[in-house]
Amino acid sequence: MASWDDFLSSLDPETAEQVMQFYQGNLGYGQYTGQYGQSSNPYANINVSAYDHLNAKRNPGDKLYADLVRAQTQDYLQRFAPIENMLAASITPTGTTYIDQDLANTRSAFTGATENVRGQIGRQNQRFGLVNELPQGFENQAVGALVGGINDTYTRDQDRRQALLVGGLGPVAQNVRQTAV
Amino acid sequence: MGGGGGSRYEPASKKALAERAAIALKRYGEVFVPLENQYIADVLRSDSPENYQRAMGRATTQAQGIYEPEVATRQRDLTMRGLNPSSGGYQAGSQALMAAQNRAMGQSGADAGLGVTDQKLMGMQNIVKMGQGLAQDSMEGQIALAENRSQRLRDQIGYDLGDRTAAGQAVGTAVGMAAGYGLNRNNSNPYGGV
Repeated sequence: MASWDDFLSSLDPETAEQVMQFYQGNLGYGQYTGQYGQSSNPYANINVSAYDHLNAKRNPGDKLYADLVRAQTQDYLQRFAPIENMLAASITPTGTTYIDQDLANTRSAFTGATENVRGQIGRQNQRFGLVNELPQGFENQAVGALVGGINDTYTRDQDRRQALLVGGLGPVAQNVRQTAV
Repeated sequence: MGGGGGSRYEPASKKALAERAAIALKRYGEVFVPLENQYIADVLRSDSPENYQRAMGRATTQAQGIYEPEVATRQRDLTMRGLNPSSGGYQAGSQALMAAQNRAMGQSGADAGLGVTDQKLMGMQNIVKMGQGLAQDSMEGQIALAENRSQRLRDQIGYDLGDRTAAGQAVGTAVGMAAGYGLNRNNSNPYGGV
């Protein structure tokens, strides 16, 4: 599974440090107080009056507009591009990097349920004074259910990969083509 | 000659529009960016072990809650009919249903776990879409800026050389190439990993 730490370790150390500092500083629950400080506003440094002293011949509107575009680009690169990279990196040739976590969850769900029901049957048999034995074929059924669950998990992961490939990353290519025309 | 020089002055409306855009962006940064960040944080933490356990535990308990009354009813019926709990008939009637309960509990729990992963990925897709709105604005802005530069260069060279049509076309081609190069460079970074 691609955890946040895995993602950070896939970046070069300098970028990883910047990304970590950014998210720790801006995304932590403890940091979010509802009071919006300078650090959480990527557009706080835009100075609307920065070019007021320029006359029209020196294109003050164009310069201010350029500042806005730069700020938007920076904001996009800082906050959203890492998530795009993370999502793209989660796609593998056969599914997604989340398969290991999902398989572990599936095994845990089925083995947990089997333990639960096995205990129930045992307690019930004890109440009747019977030897604590399971119904015929119970273990086989439990293993069969687990195998079915694992197969479902693989199938679901493959579906997820397809969904990510065909649309999960958004209409990136179309946007680029449209704006480049 | 020299009549085109007046067009090199930027209209006041352009600066006013840029100021309005700047104010809107600052406001976006103050009001919406912290909310977006909070959403991003929620999504990134949505696949925590606690979230998986909570969702899977709830789903398993739900399946158990549906099967157990049926198992109890079936057992009561079998006992009333005089079947011995150690008999094959009793086991087939009662404990086979418990084996089905086992399967249902496992499937529900596993499905809930997969659902948590799905939710995280859907959340990440939403973040990507949010970011691409911003990227789209940014790219369009860069194209607009390139067009502005192109227009200024056309004006300038037309003014300087006097032959506006031919020179304008030549410069347009050159600036178009430059803008295309800039776009490709800009886009190669964020999507390089795709």
